[in-house]
Amino acid sequence: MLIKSKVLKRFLKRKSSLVGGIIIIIFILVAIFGPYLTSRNPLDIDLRNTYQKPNRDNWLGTDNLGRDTLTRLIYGARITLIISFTSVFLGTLVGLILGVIAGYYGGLIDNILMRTTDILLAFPGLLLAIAIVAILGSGIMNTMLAIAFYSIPYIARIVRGVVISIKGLEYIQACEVIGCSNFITIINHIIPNSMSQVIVNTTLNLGTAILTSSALSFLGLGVQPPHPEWGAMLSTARDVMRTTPIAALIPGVAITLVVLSFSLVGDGLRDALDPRLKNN
Amino acid sequence: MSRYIIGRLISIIPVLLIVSFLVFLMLHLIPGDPVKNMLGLHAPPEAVEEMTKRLGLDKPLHIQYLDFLKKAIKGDFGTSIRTKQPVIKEIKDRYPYTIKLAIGGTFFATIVGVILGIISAVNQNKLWDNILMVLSLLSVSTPSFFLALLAILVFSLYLGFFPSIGIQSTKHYILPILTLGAQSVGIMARMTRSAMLDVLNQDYIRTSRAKGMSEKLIIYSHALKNALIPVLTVIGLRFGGLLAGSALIESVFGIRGIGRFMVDGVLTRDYPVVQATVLLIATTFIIINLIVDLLYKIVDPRIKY
Repeated sequence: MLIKSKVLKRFLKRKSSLVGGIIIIIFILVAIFGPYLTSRNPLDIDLRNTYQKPNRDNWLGTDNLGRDTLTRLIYGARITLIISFTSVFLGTLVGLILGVIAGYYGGLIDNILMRTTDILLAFPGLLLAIAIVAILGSGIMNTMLAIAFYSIPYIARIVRGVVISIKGLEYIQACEVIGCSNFITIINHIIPNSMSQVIVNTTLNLGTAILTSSALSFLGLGVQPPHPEWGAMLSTARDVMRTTPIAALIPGVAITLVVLSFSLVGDGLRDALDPRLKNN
Repeated sequence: MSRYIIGRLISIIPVLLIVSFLVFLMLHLIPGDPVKNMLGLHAPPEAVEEMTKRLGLDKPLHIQYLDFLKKAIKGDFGTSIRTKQPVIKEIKDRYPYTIKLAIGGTFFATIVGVILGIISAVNQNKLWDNILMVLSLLSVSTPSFFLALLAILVFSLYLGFFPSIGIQSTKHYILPILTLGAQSVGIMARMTRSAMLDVLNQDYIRTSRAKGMSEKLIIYSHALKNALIPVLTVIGLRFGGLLAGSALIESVFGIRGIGRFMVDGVLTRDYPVVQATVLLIATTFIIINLIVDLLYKIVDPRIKY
């Protein structure tokens, strides 16, 4: 408890991370309770009211089919939250398991796993995501799988490094001496002690996942219309940049703000969990 | 040195073989029949049979891969299903645009990022450091396609400084290169700052200061040279990011590059195009990282092979 409160204190001391944290909490609340915040439907088309500027009825204006931008933004938060959290959770889980196995057992299995990650890392992130979408097809589910898949090698490598550094420590050796099985050592000692690195990277990965999913949707490869995904909203709005720039500005600023917040929180967590890294 | 170069060159061969095998497998991993996927579910059986034969899908897998590899080495990626043109012809037309964008973006990001990183490190925890670090975080968090749209809005539509679409002249390259590289500026700046701070805390820097060496000389002749080694690795990695990211920028600025070709290929299920472009981008990335590896020797003579 003492350690946790110290970490929290250090985290809260950093104002920028605190602001990022507050924005993320708002984002999550909007995503969860979105339907209670607005009585409108994000898919309701009103062709007499296309590309409206912000007004009393439509606070953030309307899009090319007269749909309310604010409502779409709120429902878009939900899609963004589901895609980013699910894909990062999946990627982290598989990456964590593979990283622990590679780092703890070493030898041939480590070699095979690490060479496999080498190969996957030979593809730039977005390229790998596009290639996976090319195989699986577009849509919310496949976007999540693509993002999860490409984050596996990064997490696996980080966890492996941490596990190797922990493995040599005395308390792990002591555990082995008193007869702990490999499974118990991994579950009770290795994984809890590599968690701080995993948490920091997971937070930073959430931002990257949002950037990638919005990029895929912007290209027409991710979430498909009429779903109100932020990247897809930006793509629709680009044709009217001259006349209604606000249609593109709103989803763009929303993506930037949420990604920025995850970066701020990730940085803050890193400093709070490992104060030695501060200033670097 | 030459032994190392030859060794490294040989070591990328298995990587290239596996990457090419994965790209080859793409077609076979597609759920359902890839030919029906390309031609549509109601395609006449003769057309399906003809396409299966043309793509060599009726042969055993290992023979198919060897055929794919042999042809790929010769630059033959088959014909585009959509345009009926040889894929290589389109690639030859489009590849230079993407490479110019990625190289331009990398240069821009490196120069600006390193300079900002130095300023930040020298003013550690002071106002300028804080401002620059917030800005760099902002640049990392802004989607490149959003930045590109903003740049078009401000610099093309409102101010009229730059053209908003196409790639006919040097002027056309400026906005795409700047918006493609912007995200990497933040990454480079943060990396340079962190590497500089590491070096500035070393004993030999303290010794130089004790000797009475000027701060400028310490920073540029001692610290920067040593800080550039980790930065170099990031340059190689970012280049790959920019190659793939060019798909977004090419889409916004209407540039006929490889990235857009790939995305169009995915959208229209033109698999020969997808395979060729994915393989080409991955291969370029592997070769660039090999060059970066070799550059280490020049930047850091301590590295022995």
